[in-house]
Amino acid sequence: MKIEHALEKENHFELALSGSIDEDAEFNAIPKIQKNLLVVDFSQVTMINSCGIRDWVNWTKTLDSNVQVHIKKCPKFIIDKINILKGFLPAKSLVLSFYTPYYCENCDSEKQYLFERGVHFQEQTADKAAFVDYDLEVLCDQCKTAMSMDVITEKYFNFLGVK
Amino acid sequence: MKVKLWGVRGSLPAPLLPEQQYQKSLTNLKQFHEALSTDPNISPEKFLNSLPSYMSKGFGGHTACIQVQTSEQNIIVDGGSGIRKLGEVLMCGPCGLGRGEVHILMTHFHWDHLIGLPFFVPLFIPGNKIHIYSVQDNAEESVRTLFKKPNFPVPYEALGAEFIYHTLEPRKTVHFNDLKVTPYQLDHPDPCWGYKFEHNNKTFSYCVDTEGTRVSRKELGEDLALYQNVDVMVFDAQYTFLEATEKVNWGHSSAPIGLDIAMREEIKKVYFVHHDPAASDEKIMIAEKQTRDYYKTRLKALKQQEAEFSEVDWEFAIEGTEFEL
Repeated sequence: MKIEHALEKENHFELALSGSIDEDAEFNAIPKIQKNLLVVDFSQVTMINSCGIRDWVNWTKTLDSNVQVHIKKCPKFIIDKINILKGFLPAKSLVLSFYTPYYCENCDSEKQYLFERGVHFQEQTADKAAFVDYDLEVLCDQCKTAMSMDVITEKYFNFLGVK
Repeated sequence: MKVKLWGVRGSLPAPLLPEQQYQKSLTNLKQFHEALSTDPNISPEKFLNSLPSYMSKGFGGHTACIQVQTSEQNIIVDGGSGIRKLGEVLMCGPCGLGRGEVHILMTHFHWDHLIGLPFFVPLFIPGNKIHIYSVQDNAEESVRTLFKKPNFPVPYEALGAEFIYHTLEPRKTVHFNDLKVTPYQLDHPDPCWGYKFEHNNKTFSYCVDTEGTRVSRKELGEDLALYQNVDVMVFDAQYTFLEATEKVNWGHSSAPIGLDIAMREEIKKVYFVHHDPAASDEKIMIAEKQTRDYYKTRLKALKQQEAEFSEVDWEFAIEGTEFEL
């Protein structure tokens, strides 16, 4: 695992990770988070295994209790882990964006489309059901025909509270 | 090399409660009744054999004890409550005649790995020789503690067998005739040593109890060899993955950790053991399902990345599981 950047911004701390998050990941190398909001960019992470998950979960436990964690640009395998493992995300965390795979039956190509919170999805709250834009039209870059969402929706979007 | 798992529970023996036994029987009988409606000729045996083992037999309640046998050697690892039944089998041979020689390797001295020894009958028979092996140098003290009044009516001095204690050198191979055994350190709150068995180019590793805190090759250092060139591994999976992240330094691991080690080190088969005594058979199956989901996503991700990896055959072991290498 590599720390692509660890930047203290005005209102939040931005952390971008890359590579494999596995038993060799060194979360201790991440500087102390001095802001109340931590935004973690997973777009360049290529893999996470059980040891990486364990180290990630243990590291998030070391954050001050008032630190809110937002994660963005999550690859599908991160969302899969969030769905399988309750506790992957600390309390008070939010998923800001994640990739959803789409498939073109015409030319057998795949595409990862970035779903953004408030635009393409919203998690369930006390007074609102979860929302996912299942009807979003995603066009194939090659043949320009409409692509199909390539996930089992009730499983993939389960973390949002979708029923 | 044949291996039998005489006890696969951790921490405390966990017999099925009468009410649990009743519910299991009721569920199976209902399902058999349904099966008869589609196949009136189905026999009870055929029906039971069609069920997952945890439904027909349960995972078992005895604590850690395994037996490793070759044509020339018979080694026991740990004296959990599972050793009692093993003792009954041994009593049918030379042990029953006071001509037995028993070899017990100890991983460590927590109660669940000792608790069966006071009920291991060969210890009581004059003429039998009981060899106890450990890396730790306090094996005799721990065994004597089991046979102290008022906690046990038979004092150590009254046991009929002769006890011989052997202190093993860490990571140094010992030869038991045709079987080579090497101790490697595990990650547990008190010193704990796993064992690697080698016989006829086949290798079996017993990795219980361990939290799997050290997983990277760098962290494992000299103990990495416990996981390398291994055909079959028995690994500590007391907790679900989430429980294990909450119970840091409790000394036990979860199946996904064992799987990742196995995939990296190309271990062909893994049996997960040391099931939590508080876990019902149904709960262990949920943990198995979660592990299966985890394994599927890992395989898919690795295939998509076109990474080199090794698929692993694995299962959550039930008491009485036997396998041959």
